[in-house]
Amino acid sequence: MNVKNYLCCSLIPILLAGCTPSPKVLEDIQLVQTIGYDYVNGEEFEGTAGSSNIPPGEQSLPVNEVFTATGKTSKRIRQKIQAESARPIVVGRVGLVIFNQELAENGIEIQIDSLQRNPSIGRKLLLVVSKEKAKDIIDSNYSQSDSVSQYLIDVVEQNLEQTIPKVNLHRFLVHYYSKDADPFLPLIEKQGKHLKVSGLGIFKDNKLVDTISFGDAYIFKILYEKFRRGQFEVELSGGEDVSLENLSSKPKIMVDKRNGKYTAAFKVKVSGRAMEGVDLDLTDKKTIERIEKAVEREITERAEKMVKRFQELNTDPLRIGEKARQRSDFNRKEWKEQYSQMEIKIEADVNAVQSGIIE
Amino acid sequence: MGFFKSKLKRFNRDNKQKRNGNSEHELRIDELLHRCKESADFVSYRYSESSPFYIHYYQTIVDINILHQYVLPYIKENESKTLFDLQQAIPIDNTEIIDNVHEIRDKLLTGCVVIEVKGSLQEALVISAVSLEKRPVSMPEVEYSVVGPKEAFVESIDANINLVRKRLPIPDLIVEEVKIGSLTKTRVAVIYIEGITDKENVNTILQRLNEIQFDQIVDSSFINQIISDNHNSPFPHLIDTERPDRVASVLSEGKITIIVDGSPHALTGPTTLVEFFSAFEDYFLSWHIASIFRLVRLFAVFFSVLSTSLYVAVLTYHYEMIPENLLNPLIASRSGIPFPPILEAIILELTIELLREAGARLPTKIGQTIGIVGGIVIGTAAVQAGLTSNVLLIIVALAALASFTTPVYQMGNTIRLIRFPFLITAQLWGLLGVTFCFSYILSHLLKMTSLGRPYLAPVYPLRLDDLRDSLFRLPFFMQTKRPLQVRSPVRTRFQPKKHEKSKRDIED
Amino acid sequence: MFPLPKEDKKVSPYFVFYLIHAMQIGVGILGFERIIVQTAGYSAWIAILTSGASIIGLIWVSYRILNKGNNDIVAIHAEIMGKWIGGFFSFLFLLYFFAFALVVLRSYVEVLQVWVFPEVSEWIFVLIIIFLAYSYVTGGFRVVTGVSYLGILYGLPLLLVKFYPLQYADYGNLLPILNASPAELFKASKEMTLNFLGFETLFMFYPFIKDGPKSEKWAYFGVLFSIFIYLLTAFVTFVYFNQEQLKGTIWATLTLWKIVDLIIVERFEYIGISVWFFAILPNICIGLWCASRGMNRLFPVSQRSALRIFCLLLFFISVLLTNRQQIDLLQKAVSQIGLYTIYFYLPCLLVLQYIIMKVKKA
Repeated sequence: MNVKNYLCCSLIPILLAGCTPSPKVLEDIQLVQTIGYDYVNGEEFEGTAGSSNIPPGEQSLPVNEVFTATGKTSKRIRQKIQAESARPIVVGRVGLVIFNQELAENGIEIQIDSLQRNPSIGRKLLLVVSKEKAKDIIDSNYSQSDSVSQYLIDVVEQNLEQTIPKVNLHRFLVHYYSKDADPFLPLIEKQGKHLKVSGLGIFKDNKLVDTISFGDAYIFKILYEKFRRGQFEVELSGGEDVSLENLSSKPKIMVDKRNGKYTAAFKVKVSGRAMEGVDLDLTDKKTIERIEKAVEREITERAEKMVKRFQELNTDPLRIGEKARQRSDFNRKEWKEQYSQMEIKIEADVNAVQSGIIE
Repeated sequence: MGFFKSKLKRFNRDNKQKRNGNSEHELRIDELLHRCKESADFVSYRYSESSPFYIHYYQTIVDINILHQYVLPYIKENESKTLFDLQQAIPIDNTEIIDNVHEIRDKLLTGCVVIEVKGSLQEALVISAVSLEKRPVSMPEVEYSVVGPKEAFVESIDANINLVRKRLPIPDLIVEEVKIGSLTKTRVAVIYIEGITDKENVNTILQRLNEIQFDQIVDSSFINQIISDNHNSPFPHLIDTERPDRVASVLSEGKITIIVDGSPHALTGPTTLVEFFSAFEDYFLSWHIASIFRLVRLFAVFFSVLSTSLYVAVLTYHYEMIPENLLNPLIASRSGIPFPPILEAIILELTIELLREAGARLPTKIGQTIGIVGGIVIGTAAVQAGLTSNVLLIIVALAALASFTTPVYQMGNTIRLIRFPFLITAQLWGLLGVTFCFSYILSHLLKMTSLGRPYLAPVYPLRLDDLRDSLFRLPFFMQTKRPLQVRSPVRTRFQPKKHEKSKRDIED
Repeated sequence: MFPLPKEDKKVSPYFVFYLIHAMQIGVGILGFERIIVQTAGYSAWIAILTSGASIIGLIWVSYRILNKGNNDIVAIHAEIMGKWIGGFFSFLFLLYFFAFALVVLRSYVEVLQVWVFPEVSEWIFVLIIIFLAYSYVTGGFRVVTGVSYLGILYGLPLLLVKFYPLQYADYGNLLPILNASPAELFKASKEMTLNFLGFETLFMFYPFIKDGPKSEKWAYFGVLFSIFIYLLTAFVTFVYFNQEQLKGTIWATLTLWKIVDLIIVERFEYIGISVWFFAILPNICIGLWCASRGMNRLFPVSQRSALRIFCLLLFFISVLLTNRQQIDLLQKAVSQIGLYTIYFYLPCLLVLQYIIMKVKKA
């Protein structure tokens, strides 16, 4: 090996030194886990980044750290937040984004765009609408030993399984982009030391137009997706409370077109075990039938009311339009014109089996 | 490189000159004896005043009992005057009369007694009376197995060949011997089974052995390095084994074995990468178990090579990949540590290497202490002092453990070595760096050959037949063919008995 | 004049499967869905079938030419059109192979820059990848075949993670089944054909296949497998994304990986992009090998020095392409050339070869 070769060899690392990415070592970055957006005025909005600092040690508890800034774009807000932080802010591990209700009513286009454009942001991200200021939700203490962000994420995630339709960034985007459906997001509110999922926020394009209650959200879930291990409570005509446990439900939307007129029908198959019937003979076939009827009525009535409301607002979060699009004779213009007046039927078929370990 | 080459060349030239110089003027026997007498252990005397015979030998390598019992009495009894008469009289088979002085010298130096008659200058009777120090055949230490034979090679080539031949008592087992090393004159035996082994492979080995220009061949690993296909490769090209059973088994597959005198390790080849991860014990276990063990070992290799570099890559660049529930423990263990992950990893890896090296250099009993000191004291102290994260400590320890599962020692070293380039590239370009490094090693492996045969076989080139005994091991009745890798002229090992699907009913 | 390669440099016929498949699956698959959907909507999967079928026809044409010529394209050109004109066409082929490698390399580096390391300048990745490709190509055709084979082997597990997006699938997306006009479908097929390009390298490595004519069926299998992979990918993408959403998603497959959650690893795209390197490396290697081999056949240069020249060129041109528009332009240009080459030039060559062989015999 001559001098030239040595020179080359020693030059390579020096050259490489300028060409490697800047390290983002795990403990040297400020991992933002929740983002909140609040309304300021027509142009600006307020961004809040919730993250936690974890002191060294195995049993150490995370310490909350919240940054807030106002700006016209997410980038601007991020810059301002960066100025406050001791470590570089990164958003790659954001798990929850909270939109304040007021902001959502004014449109969340900018925020959604910046979220989906950033390659470091995942698609399992949860989006929610909050009744309070997002900042207040992120910047407060809950009765949990986990970090606040983790707690918020856990609460929403748990509810997505059980009580409200599953929606994450990807699902939201699917609805958001669809020409024949509108998005919806879970609604949260703070209640004392707890966070509570209190229903759904219904969007029309990128603006929040309506909110539905927690109970209705459950009906929405039944109409929207197939799920298992649900639970449904109903009051019988005699005033007794019965609950269907281990409930599994499977919805089916059918769109029909006759003479240029669209009609739609939901067929929902629900089955579950009847439980908690105080003073009720659950082994009796008749009782079971009564329960089934009651549940059917409850679902149909509430669902019809809800769907009517959606039609009035001309929003389609249940993606009936998507179903209509799948017909080969679909005409989008006709559909849009007819949607708010069209007939939408709801049929529920409930199948209850007696259960419990006591007869 | 260039430097080495020129040095080697010069060395070769010197060597040649010396040899030429020797042969230029005929060596005479008295000159030879004169030179030998410079050594204190050389004995040279006339048997008696009346006897015409002069006896010469190195007393350190001659079995004096043979001389006393079978040579000296006959010289006395037999009043013959010629070497021929004496040869007839002596009841030892290995005697000859040699007139080539060089040959005489070689015999003398390998433990023969030389008897000459004053006057006949160029002729001498050579009687073999070698006494070689060797230890008895002992347990295998490097390739230990729980079940199966417990014999291992020793440092004597004859004993080693004996161990092999007793397992393959067939006339087709051919042993070809060459002497290598201008100083050590090491006996190197090339063993193969005629008819099963591809002649081309044998010729390749013999040619490479004959081309060796080196002064000392102390161990088989010298040969392994010198005759390898690519001298710049960290991967071993031939398997070295201390198990005669393994040698017998690979010989019958059509491979070739090289046994070197003075080395308790035999070399076998041509070989493939996956063969390095098969322990011979695999054949003693039932095939399911053996297959799973092999896969575990393969996994261990990947784990050992990649785990620390992946740790560095992910912690340095790809924090997004860490799932939520791992995030907090990782941050908690990392925060407060003054080094970046790469430095932390290198320090720990070096520590493990230090421990291993110290353990290997020290006597077994102290070595164990070193392991305990290193593992418990240093590890715990480092974590408590906040110098390393305990997560990485676990990873590094596991990786080290995994690297020791490789049955062939040389390969284990290679695996530990190639971790470091992975670490460095992981630091430079994260996961991509790991990919780049892996791809470079792959290109090296793809280009590599063992005795001219592809090293990555049977994976590439894909040989489904050979796959039966590579990454996993199928039952013996399915191993009816010799591997394609060795290009055996007789591919079938045995005719399998037709396994008739039993058509009998359950209770028949 | 054009000697055939030595027997020990050749590979078995079945490796044609891997070679052709490896060439067809490249960077294109990371984002082809958007392009075909923009023209034909969610009926675009039909375009995959039709263009795939046309490629099978072209493979048939190629094998007729090659079996008759029994040598590579350089020799066939020389035989049909003489030394100078034939040489000229062969040279164009070489440039095409080179440009193919260039497009693949530059597109992949772009993915790296957008998705993984935005702050790293492209030349360093270009340099590393060229260095790796060089180390493979210097090993000869056997090693190049090896990397395409192993590349596919490493890439296959990526198909397994398609399971995760299927959890979010909405199979209704695919309805109505035939929702595009024949014209739209034709256009989409044309766009789709670009993803199947690369099999032309067959014209260069054909002599390196033991018993060339026997490899024909493997070539078909290779294309069929590519069609299968593209169909599967398109299917998963279609049911996962909404049509309008997909139209704005440049790298659909990469975006899809974002949803994968392997318990100990989230955000699979980082792993995916790294593993994908083994799918694009064969493209670059085969491209470079073909180009350098052709140079060696055409001009009195050794293949090694030709390879070095091409590597240098590859480096400088890749570094000069700085923005997306330029890369797109290059991609379009190369694919257009490729399109015309396979659909017009190859059949012409077959006819021409047939006529000239007849004349020569007469």
